[in-house]
Amino acid sequence: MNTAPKITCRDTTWLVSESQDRPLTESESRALEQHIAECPLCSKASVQFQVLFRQLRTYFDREASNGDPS
Amino acid sequence: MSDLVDEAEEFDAQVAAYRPVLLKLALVQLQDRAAAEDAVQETLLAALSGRKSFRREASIKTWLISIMKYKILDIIRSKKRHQFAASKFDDIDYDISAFDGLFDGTGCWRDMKDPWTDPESVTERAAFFKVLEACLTRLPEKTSRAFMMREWLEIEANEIQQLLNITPGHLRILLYRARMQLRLCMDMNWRRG
Repeated sequence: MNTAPKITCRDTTWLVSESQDRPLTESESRALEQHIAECPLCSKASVQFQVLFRQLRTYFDREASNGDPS
Repeated sequence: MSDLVDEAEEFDAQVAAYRPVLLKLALVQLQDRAAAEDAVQETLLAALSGRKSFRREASIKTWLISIMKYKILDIIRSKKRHQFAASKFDDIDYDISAFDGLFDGTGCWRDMKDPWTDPESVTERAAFFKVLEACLTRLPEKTSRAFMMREWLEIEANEIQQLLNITPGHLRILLYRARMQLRLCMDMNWRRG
């Protein structure tokens, strides 16, 4: 049940990018989550990507709810 | 009363000052000077007559870019593909070896600095966006065009493939390159000050 396929850090960057364009398959998400949980470098990289994606959304004014409440 | 007049004039001047930025964005997407000029002109007119709908917390630039988004989308979708896809995407390389140096032989990151976090104040966000814009500008033109179709115009991947007449694999590479390059560029240039 917890046997996600082993992937490399480099593989995770592809999945992180693709998750922005299509839903990942269940086994892809599992492999990604498992790798990030076990790999400190990927967990840092993943935070960087999430900040980048979030700020791009704000910059392009997508998702009105994402803006400052002030 | 004259304060209001001054404010309106200042707003108009600020809007007009963004013309070059808007034109550059429109040109990358439309690949046609006249069409780009028209899109910018319409955007500026819409902005000037819609001053009341401008929310103060957004920057004028972000607001203008979001108005222009729909003008560009209309133009892209109203044109037949062969008229629109004037610039060739088959003459670019889809090489991703530029990122080889980031990973070791087993595909592990060689090094990763501590993550940056979301900007917290208005000033910090402005500073972050400034670096982000500079990084966006550094993307190669065709990479940028595909990436902006996805991130700014919010076109689904399969429609972008049709519009640019490229394969899913090629689009996947262009978007990957853009995101990898942006992360790297932000990592090298964004430090909370």
